[in-house]
Amino acid sequence: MKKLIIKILLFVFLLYIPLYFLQNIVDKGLRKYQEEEYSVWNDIFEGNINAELIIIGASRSFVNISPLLLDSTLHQKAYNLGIDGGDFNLAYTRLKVYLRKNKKPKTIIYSISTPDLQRSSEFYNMEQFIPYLNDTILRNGIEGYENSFKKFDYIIPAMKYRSYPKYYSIGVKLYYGASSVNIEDGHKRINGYQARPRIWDSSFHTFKSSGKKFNIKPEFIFIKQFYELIDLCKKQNIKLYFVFSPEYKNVQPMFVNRDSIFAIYSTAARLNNIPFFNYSNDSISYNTKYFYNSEHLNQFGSEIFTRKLAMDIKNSSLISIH
Amino acid sequence: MLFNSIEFLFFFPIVTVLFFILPHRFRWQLLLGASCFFYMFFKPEYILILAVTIVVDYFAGILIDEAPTEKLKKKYLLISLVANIGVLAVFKYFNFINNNVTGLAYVFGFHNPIPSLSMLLPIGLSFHTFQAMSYTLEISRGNYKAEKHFGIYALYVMFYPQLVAGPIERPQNIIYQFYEEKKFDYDRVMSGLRLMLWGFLKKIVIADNLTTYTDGVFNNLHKQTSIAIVISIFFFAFQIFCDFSAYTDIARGAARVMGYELIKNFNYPFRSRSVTEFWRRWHMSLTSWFNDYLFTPLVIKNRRSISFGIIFALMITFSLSGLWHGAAWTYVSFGVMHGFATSYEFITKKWRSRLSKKINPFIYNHISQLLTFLFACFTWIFFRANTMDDAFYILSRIPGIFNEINHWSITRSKPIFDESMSNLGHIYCFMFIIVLEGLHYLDNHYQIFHLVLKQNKFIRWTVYYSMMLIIIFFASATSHRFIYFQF
Repeated sequence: MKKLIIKILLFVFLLYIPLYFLQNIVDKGLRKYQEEEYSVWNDIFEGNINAELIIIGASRSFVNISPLLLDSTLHQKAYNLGIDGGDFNLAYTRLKVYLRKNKKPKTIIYSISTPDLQRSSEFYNMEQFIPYLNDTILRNGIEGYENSFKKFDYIIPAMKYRSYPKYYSIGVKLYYGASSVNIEDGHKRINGYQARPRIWDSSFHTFKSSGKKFNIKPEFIFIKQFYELIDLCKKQNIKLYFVFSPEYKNVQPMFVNRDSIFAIYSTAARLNNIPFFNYSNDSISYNTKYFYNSEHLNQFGSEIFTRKLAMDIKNSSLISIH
Repeated sequence: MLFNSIEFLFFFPIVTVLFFILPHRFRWQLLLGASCFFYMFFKPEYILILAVTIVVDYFAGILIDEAPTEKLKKKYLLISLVANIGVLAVFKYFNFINNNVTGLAYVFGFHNPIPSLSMLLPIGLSFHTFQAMSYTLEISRGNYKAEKHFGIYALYVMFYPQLVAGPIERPQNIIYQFYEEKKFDYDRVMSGLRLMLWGFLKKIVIADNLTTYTDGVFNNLHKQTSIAIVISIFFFAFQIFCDFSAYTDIARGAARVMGYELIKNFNYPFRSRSVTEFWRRWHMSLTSWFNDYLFTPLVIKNRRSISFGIIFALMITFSLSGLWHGAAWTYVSFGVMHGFATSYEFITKKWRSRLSKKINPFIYNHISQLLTFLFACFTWIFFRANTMDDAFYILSRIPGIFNEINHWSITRSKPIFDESMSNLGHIYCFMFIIVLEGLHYLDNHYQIFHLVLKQNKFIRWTVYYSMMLIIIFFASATSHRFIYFQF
């Protein structure tokens, strides 16, 4: 039996070592990758952001709010941590990782989306997490999703990349100093913001004709995390704002329990003296020329909206302006 | 516990090492304890169901063996069968029967006051109840003496490698092995590990990757093109083969490592040249169970009219075999269709034999193989469909494939599968099937699996290493339960 155990150990060792090195190379390479979510995670993990104003939320955050425009009005270095396809848990997880690796900001803007407090049914774009799976905060944050990473992904080296073979070549190229890997223009994020110069598409009409409705089911643990965020900002003396950016007016009745979801935010805002800027009824929400779909502003819309938001924050005199 | 889980990765080596460390007299206790632990990983309280049937069958076995008259033997056998079938009836078939009664009552304007039960089906229930039944049936026929050692009998029902999805063992094949002192044999252990590795590869790489597509299609039929539906029907054939045969390989491999030899369950079923032959190669332990305890007794009972007797027995056996798989009309239809096919083959046996002599054997055999495979795929539509309506919907969509191919210029501009499924995944799936069938062909003709064993260490290790790398790089992103667990 001893002979067999030695052989098995030798076999595992010979298998493990090259895979471990391969994984390390790809992980390190991808930490230089500048496409979409990778660029934000890489900025966070490098600890070079150190912004004074942070915007958190899901896709409505990084598509609708431009940090550079906020900066130009409020004179605070801003960065948008919005996470594509994320819910509150993922947005909060990203903030927690950020706070561990970067200086704490003076201001946080939480950009709300109606479904935030409901766990995403599909773990969208999960490849963005792969190079950082050894980070405990991130690992805990992404647990509990149906199609999340399996224990094998954490234990067996290189296995986590099995469904994303393209990242082997990208990671290896970047590790060995390839100056850049081709990234299409629309896939870049600047200070976390992604301008989307698109026009109104047919997705809303397709959805409307399907007759479906959204009934958001907030998850208890997400609501708990939401209050944790409020406590964290209080304790660390960070100014917190809630912002509901414009949403196409005709989609709003399709969220059948929209009022009760908003009540969660407005109650928390009232009780904790948090400014809540709600643009649900803003003139932008009525005009499709500012949107490319019912939830997301196009570049034109997001720039107009961000200027408006910056002025509203400035006028509210609740932020210290240098 | 699932074989393809991280828990099993620890469970198996720990149990195996302990097995060889412990003296022989403690091994049955270790295996029984490990088997309980293995089963309780799913839903701990369901072990009580197993315990009840084990106790009933244990005492029934002794009473049958010691009964002085045939009448008494039959009485005790009946108690055992009622207990086992009763458990199946309550946990597996109650809701099916009740729902049908409700439907019928509604048609005739009545109301069925009995509510449905809301409980999960115990994992592998049909397997271990059938194994338990084969024990008392064999004793009642005088083929086996009742086991006096309660622990060994319990281990016969609960032996963890085959507890939840077979192979369905007979007492003659396995109980005596628990008494044998198993020594560590390097070659045997390696042979078991190799079989397990092959099983894991088939399950994790082939079956689970195919499942991603078949589930996506069968659960969203209305979104799919006809091409996608037809491809998924063929994918499902390979998925179910790889899934179930992988379970058997892992079970047989794990048992072999400890020195126990379980019966073979598959013998290249897709090479069958008739549906009758298919059932001699597919899930062989279930086929032989039905053959010994249902088909043969039915034929003997109707021996005065042998042709009628055989056809009647075939129809009953296959219908019940369908029902054994699951409590739904889809499974019954699956069984009935196989009943018709085997009856047809029985009736036309002489005619087909004459025909085969007139046609080139190469052509005849390959056409027979193809037709058998297509028939199996056709019946698996009913097996896999979520409802009978879905099954008929699939049938209605199949002719659409010709239209889609005729208008290929339009078809190719649209995604064949719905957009949530990756194209790379399809390529992998086709590649896996081709490689699998290629290996089967080579093994059938040149015994390549045995040839590998005769090669030097470097080649053998390269093969193992490659298999591990294939698992690591091509494992499905989502691990799925074994299909036959639900039965």
